[in-house]
Amino acid sequence: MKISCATAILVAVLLPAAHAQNLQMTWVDRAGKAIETVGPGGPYRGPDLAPDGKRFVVHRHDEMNPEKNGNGDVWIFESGAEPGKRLAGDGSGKIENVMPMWSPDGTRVVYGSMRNGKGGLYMKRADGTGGEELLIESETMKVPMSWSPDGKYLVYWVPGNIQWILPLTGDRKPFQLSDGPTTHAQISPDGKWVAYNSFVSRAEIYVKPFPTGKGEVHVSKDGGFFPRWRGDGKELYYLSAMSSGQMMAVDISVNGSTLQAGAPHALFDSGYLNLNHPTNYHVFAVARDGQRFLIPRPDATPGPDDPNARTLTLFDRQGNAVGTVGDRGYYSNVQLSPDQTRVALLRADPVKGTTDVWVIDVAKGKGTQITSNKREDGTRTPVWSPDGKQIAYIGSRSGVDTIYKKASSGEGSEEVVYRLNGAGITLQEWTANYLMYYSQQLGGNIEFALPLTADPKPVEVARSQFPMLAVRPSPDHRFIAFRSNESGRDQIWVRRFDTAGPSADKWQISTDGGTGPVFWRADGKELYYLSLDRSMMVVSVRSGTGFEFDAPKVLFKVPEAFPAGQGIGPLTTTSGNAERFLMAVPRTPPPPPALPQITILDRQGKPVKTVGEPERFNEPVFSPDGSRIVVRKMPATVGDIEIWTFDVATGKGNLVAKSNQITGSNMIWSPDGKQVFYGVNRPGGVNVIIRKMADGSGPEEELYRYTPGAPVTINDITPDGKFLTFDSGGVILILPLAGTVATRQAIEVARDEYFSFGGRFSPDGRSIAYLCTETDRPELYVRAFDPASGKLGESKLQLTKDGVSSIVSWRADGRELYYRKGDMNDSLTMAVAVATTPRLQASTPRFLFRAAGAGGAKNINRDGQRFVVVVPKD
Amino acid sequence: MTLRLSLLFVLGITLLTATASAHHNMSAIFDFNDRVTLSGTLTKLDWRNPHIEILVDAKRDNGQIEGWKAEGPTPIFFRSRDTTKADFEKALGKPVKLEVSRARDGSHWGLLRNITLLDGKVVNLCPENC
Repeated sequence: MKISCATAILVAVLLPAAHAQNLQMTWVDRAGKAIETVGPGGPYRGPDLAPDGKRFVVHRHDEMNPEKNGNGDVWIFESGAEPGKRLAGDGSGKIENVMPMWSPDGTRVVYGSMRNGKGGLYMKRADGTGGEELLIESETMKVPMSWSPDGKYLVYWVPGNIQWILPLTGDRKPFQLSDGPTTHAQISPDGKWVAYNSFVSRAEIYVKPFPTGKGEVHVSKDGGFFPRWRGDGKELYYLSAMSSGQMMAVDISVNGSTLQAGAPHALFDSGYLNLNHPTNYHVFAVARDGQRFLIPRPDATPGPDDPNARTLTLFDRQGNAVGTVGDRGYYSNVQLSPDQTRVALLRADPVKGTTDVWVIDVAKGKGTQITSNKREDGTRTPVWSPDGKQIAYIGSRSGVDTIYKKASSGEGSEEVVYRLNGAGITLQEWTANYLMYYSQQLGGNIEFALPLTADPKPVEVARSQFPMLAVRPSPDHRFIAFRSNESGRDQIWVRRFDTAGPSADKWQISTDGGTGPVFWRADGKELYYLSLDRSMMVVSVRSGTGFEFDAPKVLFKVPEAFPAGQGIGPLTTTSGNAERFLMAVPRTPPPPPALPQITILDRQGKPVKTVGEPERFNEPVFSPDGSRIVVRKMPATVGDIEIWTFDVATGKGNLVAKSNQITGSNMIWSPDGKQVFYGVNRPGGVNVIIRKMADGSGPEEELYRYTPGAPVTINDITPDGKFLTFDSGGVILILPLAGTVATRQAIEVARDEYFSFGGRFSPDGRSIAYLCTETDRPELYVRAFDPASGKLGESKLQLTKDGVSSIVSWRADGRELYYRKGDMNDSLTMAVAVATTPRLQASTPRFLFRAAGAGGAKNINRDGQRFVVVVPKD
Repeated sequence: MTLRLSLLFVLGITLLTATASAHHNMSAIFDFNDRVTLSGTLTKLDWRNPHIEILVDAKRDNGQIEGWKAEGPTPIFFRSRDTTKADFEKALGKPVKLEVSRARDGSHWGLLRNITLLDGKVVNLCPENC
């Protein structure tokens, strides 16, 4: 799906980051009306109500506070505004204690915690006395989900969306709740059923017998999240969406061994706003009688450390702050009015979950709401009419983008200007004759001018195979300025603006890179943009028949609160004579984390050597003989990606390639270790497989150009160097390397209803290991590979049953395969013994080590004794 | 190393939303302004990644039967629309109505916008193709 990046960025800018949410623990009734708030605002996660219905435990996730190392503790509250009591953790943030849950008798609280590299479930008395009791511990992180009313079973979740039932008596050997991916188990009050989220299709709520037994009952009808039971088990509640969902209720009746669920009906808008925060905790609690719900709801006032709250600040041409406008808030897309007395902007309301266009008076700070959106509505890119009397904006409703306009006074109703064909469109400017808008829909990069006539037909004024960002027409409407990476780097360009048709005339303005925003002074004699080092640049312009301009000069440095090299287009504006610049300034960010270091680990995950200096490296891959490493180096913000090879013994590095076209595809070595392969994305969206000498010498060789628009992830090459495998869109392809770039044809070898990806050839070249979602989550499989024909065998062997995040590689003797579970924050490297003759066989996978910051595609050396990863230096 | 609350759903969401890595540049091949409505018989179904394909014998206004090929999103996309391969298989040999964005080469090939199956079930492919 190619919904524009601009939209995604916009959403990210507008919505306060989840970790920074200032939430208020709120009791609401069955109509959603707030009854009482408890405790101070804070970043709360996962409330659980005590059996007495008064106290609750909750995780306070202090990631928004940099001094807390991104971790949080378990707190216990009862009522009132007073701060609760910390039950688990010491406030240092060194250890995370998550998802607290009450014991059935209300005397103890269990929670998950990761300590000394092991994930455990810990229990503590609710009155705070005594020490912690460790219930279970292993290499996998664990999050408690439910405790049976008889106290005999505890259900917990582990990465991969597997839930385990831990018997608290007898052999205490955990067993799986369900075969498929599930979360949020909730045992019924009578202990005979369990409700849970299932992800076999989309997220839905099911109920099945507990602890064992068949017969799933589908409870939700249109998607559901986070089930909770009423105390008598006769009603089940869930949210209709992971965020901004309705609180749904379902009548439950049990007749013998049969459970029946009624039709779900909405109780109220939950007011729970999960701002892009994936969750593995219950997001609400419910009183035993089902009459009150405890929900962490967003607080309208931004917390002091909230990085997404911004202060509208005016700067002069020397970069001095000369005033602020209005209150701190969640602002974006600021646009000064032509007379500079007002600012139009987008303002997010975390309580309502809405984003609206507002106009704020610069002198008085008083705001006027222009739009009144619903939670599901989208609004983008407000622009002023030339006379300042109207505002135009994009309204995205029911998946359709429409250009609207409304009086900037807020009076009257909005008018439809033009209903657009598609989504992901941004308005750029309102000129005397046109509304300019830009579309990146489904691969096109087109600037349109919409005539301000009764039945307007948009005119294409510029088209490029490269994105054209921050497009601004000159005041005389003869040119447009914009940002493009067509030269291989983000630069500011000017093109002729001609409604008779796109013009080929264009000029590169910036020389050392440029980013948004781009502005023209009202007289068209100066152009402004932001450099990659956070400088506001000014360019003198003379436009007669042609376009002449001077070298860019630094006007001033923008505040350090803005990360260098990142476009702040939606957050800054100037207008008129460019004597004032208005910026939506965030808080000063905490110091960046330490740069990661290429580190070689032994089989127990113990660091044995570092290579080179710390840098923004990722995806390290060993050469076939283990003596070198190829690694990708990311730019600090925007700019070129580099590929380096390093000698493990000396730490000496060679720059192999540098380009902003390098993709995130895996890098692999040729079997003889002389060359590396990597992916680039050429103009027109063509993904190309490249081969180049590992020492950086010689030119890039294009091996294969795939269908324009189709992704390419390079995976491996056969030991004889005759075939390369890559995947695209869930299909595994084999590329015979004989021939030329013009003649090579890739063969689809695994193309099914489910996704197949990540092929790794065995050292003898007769098998291929890969990942496949046939069981609804990625698992590791092995199939035979015929090196003569390049085809796969029909039968396959499934090696894993509890999820795989990425495949690593084979040991050189072909007797062991390595893969990873978890994610970049908590990656577990696993090993599974394999025999391919006389027939495919595999042992039970075993855990080797965990390391945050996983390695690349093949980060293991030949004998399986060394792994290379990129991890924080500490 | 810390235990973070950010892991759940990562896998599920990756699978459910990484639905539509376009297999080719859609706007280069299909004209989104050229919409064609077809009624006819569903004759063939290819329910595989990276996108499904269906063949329809469409009856046009002049009474002629034209063979059309329509391309849709990845199979997993349909899960979010409560639609399965079985729904389409049941429609094989039966009448369907569909709207496509026609290929720029003018052939009988289109990008599926929506389809109405025999039982009246309407499957909208927005935002893949609105």
